[in-house]
Amino acid sequence: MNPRSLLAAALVLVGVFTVGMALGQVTELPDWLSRKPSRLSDGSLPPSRPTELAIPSLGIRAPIDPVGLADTGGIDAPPLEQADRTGWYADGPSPGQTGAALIVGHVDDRHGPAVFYRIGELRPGARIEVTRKDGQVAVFTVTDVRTYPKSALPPEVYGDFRTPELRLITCGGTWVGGPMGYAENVVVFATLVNVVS
Amino acid sequence: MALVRSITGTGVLAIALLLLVVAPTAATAGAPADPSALPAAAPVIPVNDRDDNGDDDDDTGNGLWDEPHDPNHERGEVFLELSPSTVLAGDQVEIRAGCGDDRKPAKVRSRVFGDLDLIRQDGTKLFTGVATVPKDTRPGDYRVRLRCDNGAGASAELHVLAMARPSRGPDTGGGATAAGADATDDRAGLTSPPVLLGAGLVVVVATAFLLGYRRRTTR
Repeated sequence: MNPRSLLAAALVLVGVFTVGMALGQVTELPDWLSRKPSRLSDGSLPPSRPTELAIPSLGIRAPIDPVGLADTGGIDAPPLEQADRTGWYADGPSPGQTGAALIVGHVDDRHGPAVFYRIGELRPGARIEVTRKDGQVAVFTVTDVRTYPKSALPPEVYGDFRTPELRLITCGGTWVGGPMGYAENVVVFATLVNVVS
Repeated sequence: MALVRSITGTGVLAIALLLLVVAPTAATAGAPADPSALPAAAPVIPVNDRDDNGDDDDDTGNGLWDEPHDPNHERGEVFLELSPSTVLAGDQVEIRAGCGDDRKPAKVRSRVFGDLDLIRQDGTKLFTGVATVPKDTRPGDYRVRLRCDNGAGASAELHVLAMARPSRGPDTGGGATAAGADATDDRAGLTSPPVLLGAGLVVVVATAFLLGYRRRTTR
């Protein structure tokens, strides 16, 4: 292979990568195109998939995957092998929309602490930031942290649609093993206080 | 033959260079041009400044949900507000609207709840109504349009969710820390970004090598 075609092949590769990067940016375009006023008249945000969760006071920064309901009737969580990721209940509101956006994460996996290991330590006033696919960051402040038996989560966990809220849910209480694992859920209640574009 | 190869070689070079030049500009072109070049998407609703602005009547501590000091209808604006803007199928939506100085009956129309006459609040320019989102409404975004008697109009978007309430809490633990044991975290999996990146590069290099090798042998 002569040097010129080698160079050409390398350049093609670089070009393809660059085009890939370009396309990666371009696929954001629908969001750009449909860019809505950053706040709706009720102070909430339009729907947009959350992508990253940050809790500065605990040093947590984690990707967010959309999840549905598991066979048990509870919100599905990311697989235990990906216990550093969190799951957003995608049938519910997006963080920043009116209603309670629900994000679940593991407290531990089979080897050690996981992404939500320390959320039980959160106290009212702590800051939680959720980055959305539309580029806006919904900033929440913690209002309460509570523990409930898994079979008896009260309605306020799922909230109403008066204001934009956030719930972080993980496991706690006694380890009972089996498919259930822990007997209880730790729920962090938070409310939207700001939106950063 | 040498000529052909030289021409194709030059062609490939040119294409590659072209890609290099065009691709990044295409990527960046979308971003900065966009907010100014594109008309703001439909809702004509004024975006109220209800964020942290030091309101004294702030009872929630964040100032987001206060009644604004100068409601739209007092300013005589044409506007449409839905509260909440996101609802579950089966729930109700409050509608507030203004038609400027027009006090004749106003209507809203949407695919979700059809036509609805709004009622003007006595002595004001504010129109209100309550719409019920039918239980069988498919989840999605629906436009609600205000039609004033004088022909003015505004629109807003209603986001409908069909969300099944989870019947129990999620199962979110593997048990490693259950006994209070301080187990070590060994989550460096095969799918971590550095590993993936390395694997990707290996594949690319190997492919390039194989292509080069094949061309040499078939020469």
